[in-house]
Amino acid sequence: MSTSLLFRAIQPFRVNKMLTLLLLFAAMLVFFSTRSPYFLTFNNFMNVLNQMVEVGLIAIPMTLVIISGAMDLSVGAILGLSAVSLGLAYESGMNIWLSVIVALLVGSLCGSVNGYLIARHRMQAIIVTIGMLVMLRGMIYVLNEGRPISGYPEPFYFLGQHAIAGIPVNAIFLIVMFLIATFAMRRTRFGTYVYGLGNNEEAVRYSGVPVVRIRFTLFVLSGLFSAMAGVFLVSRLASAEATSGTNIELDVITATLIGGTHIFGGRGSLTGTFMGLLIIVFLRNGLNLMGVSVLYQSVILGILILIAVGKQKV
Amino acid sequence: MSQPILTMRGISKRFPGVKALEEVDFELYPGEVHALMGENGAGKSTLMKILSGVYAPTEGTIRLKGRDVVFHNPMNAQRQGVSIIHQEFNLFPNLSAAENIYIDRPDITGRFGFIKWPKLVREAQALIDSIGGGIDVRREVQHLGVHSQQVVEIAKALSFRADVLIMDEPSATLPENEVQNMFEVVRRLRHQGVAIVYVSHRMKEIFEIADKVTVLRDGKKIDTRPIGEVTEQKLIRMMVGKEVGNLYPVRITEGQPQQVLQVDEMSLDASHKVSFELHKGEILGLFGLVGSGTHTVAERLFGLRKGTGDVYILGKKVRIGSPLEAISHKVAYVPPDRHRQGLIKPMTICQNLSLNLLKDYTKGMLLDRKRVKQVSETYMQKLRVKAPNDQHIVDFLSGGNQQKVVLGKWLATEPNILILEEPTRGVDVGAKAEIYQIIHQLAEGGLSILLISSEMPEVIGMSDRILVMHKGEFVHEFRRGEVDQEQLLKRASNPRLHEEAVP
Amino acid sequence: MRRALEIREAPIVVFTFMVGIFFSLMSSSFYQMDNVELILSQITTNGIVAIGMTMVILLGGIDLSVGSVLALVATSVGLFISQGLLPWQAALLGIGIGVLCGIFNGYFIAVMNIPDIIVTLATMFIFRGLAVGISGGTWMTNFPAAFQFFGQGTVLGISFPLLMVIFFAVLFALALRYTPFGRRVYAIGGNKSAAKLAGMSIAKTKFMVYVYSGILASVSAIIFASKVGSVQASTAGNNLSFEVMAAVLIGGGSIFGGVGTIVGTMFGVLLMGMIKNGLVIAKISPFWVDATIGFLIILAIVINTLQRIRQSKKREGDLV
Repeated sequence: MSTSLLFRAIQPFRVNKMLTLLLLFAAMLVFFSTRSPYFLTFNNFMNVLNQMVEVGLIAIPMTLVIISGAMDLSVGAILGLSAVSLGLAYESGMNIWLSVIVALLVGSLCGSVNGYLIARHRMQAIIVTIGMLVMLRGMIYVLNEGRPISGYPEPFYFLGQHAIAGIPVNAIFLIVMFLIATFAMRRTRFGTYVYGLGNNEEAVRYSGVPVVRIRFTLFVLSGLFSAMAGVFLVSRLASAEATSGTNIELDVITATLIGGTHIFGGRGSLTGTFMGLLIIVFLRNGLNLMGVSVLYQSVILGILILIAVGKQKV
Repeated sequence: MSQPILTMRGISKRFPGVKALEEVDFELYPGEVHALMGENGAGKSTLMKILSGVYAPTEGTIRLKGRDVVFHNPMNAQRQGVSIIHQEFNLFPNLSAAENIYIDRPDITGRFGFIKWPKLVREAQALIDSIGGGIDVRREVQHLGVHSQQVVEIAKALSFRADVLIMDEPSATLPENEVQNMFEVVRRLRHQGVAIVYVSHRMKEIFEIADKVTVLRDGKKIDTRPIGEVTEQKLIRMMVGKEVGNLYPVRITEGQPQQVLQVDEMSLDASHKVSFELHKGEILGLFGLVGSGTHTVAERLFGLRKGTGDVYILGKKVRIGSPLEAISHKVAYVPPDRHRQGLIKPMTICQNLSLNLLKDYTKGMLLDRKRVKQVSETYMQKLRVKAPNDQHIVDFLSGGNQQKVVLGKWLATEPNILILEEPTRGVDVGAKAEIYQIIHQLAEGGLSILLISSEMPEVIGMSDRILVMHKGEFVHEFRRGEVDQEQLLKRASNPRLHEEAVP
Repeated sequence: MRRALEIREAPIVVFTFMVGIFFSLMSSSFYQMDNVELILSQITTNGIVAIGMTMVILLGGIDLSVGSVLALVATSVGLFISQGLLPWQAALLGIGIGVLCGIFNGYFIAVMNIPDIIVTLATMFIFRGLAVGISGGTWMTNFPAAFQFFGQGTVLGISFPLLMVIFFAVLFALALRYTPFGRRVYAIGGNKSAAKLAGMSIAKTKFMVYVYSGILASVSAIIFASKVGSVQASTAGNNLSFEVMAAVLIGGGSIFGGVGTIVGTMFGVLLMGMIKNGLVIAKISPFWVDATIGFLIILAIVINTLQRIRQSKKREGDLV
């Protein structure tokens, strides 16, 4: 009896968490609209949507990776390498869409190296992905020696600069991806396995689930989505640069953790991450409009991470 | 005899819903080895935990060296002179033996707070030599053998000037040939006036080393006797008491002739191999003391551990290299620790019950939610899991119901062979009876069951056949009705027993 | 045994010599005295920070924020000097800031029990943001001549920074070996639950280690600022934490904690310095430096994991 009571007490708590995020979001909108008349305009909103896509795309696999009890710090570097690969491939005379595929392949390959070391050989995810981060950043410079690559054909800019019915194409893509991922997490066995891994990997293994394959897939997905983010970034900025995606992991991880995903794994949701994403992109946008420098903003994001994780109980 | 060094009076310990100890008195004299015996669940470990400061007793007093004492935590108990050596050592593998003994103690630092290495090494070496350890204390513990590590543990305990030393199954982790060395150390300690509480199942050792023996049963003290006044027979009878008969359903068939599983020279480790067979509808019990290798048998059969040897299922040779392959050959395994291995406790009953077979419940890419629901409801009903619905979080269920979920998730795979390891551990008596009834029905329905358990009544009450294991080997086979707990324990603790000695 | 301890550092020592010989064969200017001096002076900032990182890793932790601490301290020292403080006053205040950074990290990690990776990831951005904030985003260049002593001065013919590396390396090597604090660091890294049973305060030790890490990063920051003479808050020490981590792991430290020595780390730092310098001297693109460091980190963890597997295999013979 008491157990079911406890259970009932927990349900509204979950709703509460979502509600807290929504309230926080609303309060932020109100605050910034009093600061800047431009903040609460359709154009600004579409602008924000357009800019949140890269962080949002990476946040999808990051949420799953953290739920499964791991971490991927190499996403920004993978984004950069994919972006530069796209530029180099196009420069070498390849069709632009083939170049996009090259970029996606490069990202997936990086992800699978991560996955191979972490899933198959049970190495620590944090150290492996830090190693990848440093190595890939180095390789980016080796590949193009730090110069930006620009000058893509017009159709390619459709991805990052066009809008359908006033809504940016890339934002539509992001939302579709979020819907697909949420659907997949709820309606396929993969979703159950991911939560299971984060809660009790041993029990999942004892149940005959291919634990290695699942973990591997997660890191490949992480690489693939980082590469997608790279493609959209190049299209949006019309240029592939060596510094693309630097420090993007801070925004991604902050969005995920604010959204209620538990740092030790097992708990969290993509809906939460989406809310977290909205909060941090509008926060950044509002601070930009108020003229707060980018690096000052990272102070606020850093503090947000500490607050979000500090509230989580082990 | 002199004054007792330690007196426990009227010790009781209650946990929510369980009385683990009731009014236990216990006395210990300097220079004696006092064996503490009892079946699993008799209250030994609770008593030890109270004595070593892990638990506080609900009632009762402890007097140490003539003064009433309270132990706040293990460190506190140690400082007052009571040390415990656990089965699992608590050593720092990356530090030297000397440091492990004297770590973080003010007596080895000099005036400016620097560690005096020469003094540390000298004193540690002297301590090790005084118990005949024969270890170079400058070596790192990770490079020492198991016996030497145990000696380091003992030396660490003594370095606190321990008057009372508790040893929990000290021989369980030792190879056979090292046990005598350990006894040598224990005898020296006794000679130095240390009082030793020696917890063990192994009769042979008790008679060799102990001066006195105290037997616990169901949380009560049965008796304390000098070792000379008891025989093995008597001790076992004290431990076992009266049989609890009606818990176990009466078998109708006792297995059919058809052979379902045949294991041929399956390796457990580098030097041990086992062979056995299991028939259709049979319950085969596997019993052995700690360290006998029963758990390894299960791990090998379920693909959790690699090795050599042949396994035949229904006459066909199969390869089982992973749990996935085991499941595909219709082998199911209810693991001993449901918290760590059996369940994903923060998830729902439905998710747990369906976890093993989600692959089979997938249509195209998506889960067939109707089938998942149907399966989870079926097995919830079949096993009478008590919960409002299958969306209930497993963590909030009682131990018995949790265990039923583990059982259910494996039955959902419709196995031919079911390996049960400690199927009723941490489960109350009511749920126990229910689980036995379920196992019984499964066997009657033709399922072949391998029952691995450390609870003797369970093995005896449920099994059609019992294989007794000792240190990686099958040492005896009993048929149903041939055996009682005394004989089972005798065989498991002393394999070199002659046939005529069994009455 | 003592001999076994020495053997533990043998692979890194041998490897360092092999790499040295390799680069000497590639280019004769590599082993010239002034190049050797150059290498030694280039590794001082990393060397001092690596001492703190060794202790962090010994505890099984990680500190991603050291680069940002360096940036924050370097810019604040610049700011103090432009406010008219004397070099030594500015340096002391700078170390004070390093202490505060360490306390901040230590509080969240040891007291609030938030995973170190998350805390230091957050503070990496917080400290860097503060550095940029106080510097106003411009270069700090107005260091007076007297300040140059910290980075370029000599004592008895030996460069002051190198002396500081040696001083702190010896100090902490001794502390790790001869003080209860040092042995606690090893003990906690080796077996946390046994440490708890032995009555050690894990939180206290952890806290102190992060404070030391902050102090060492700030010392390094002063030397860095004095040596380069111009500091940009947004880029100073950008890859520092990764490089230093790599040095510790290559020097024989284990990410699982409990294993590693200052001596090994120093050789790791030296090796990395030689590789960085050698890649330039041998006229291989300097862009390969980062790629090589990343590769070395991954190599170090591969070796770490292999060792771990070998150890657990030794134990697997047992039943139960």
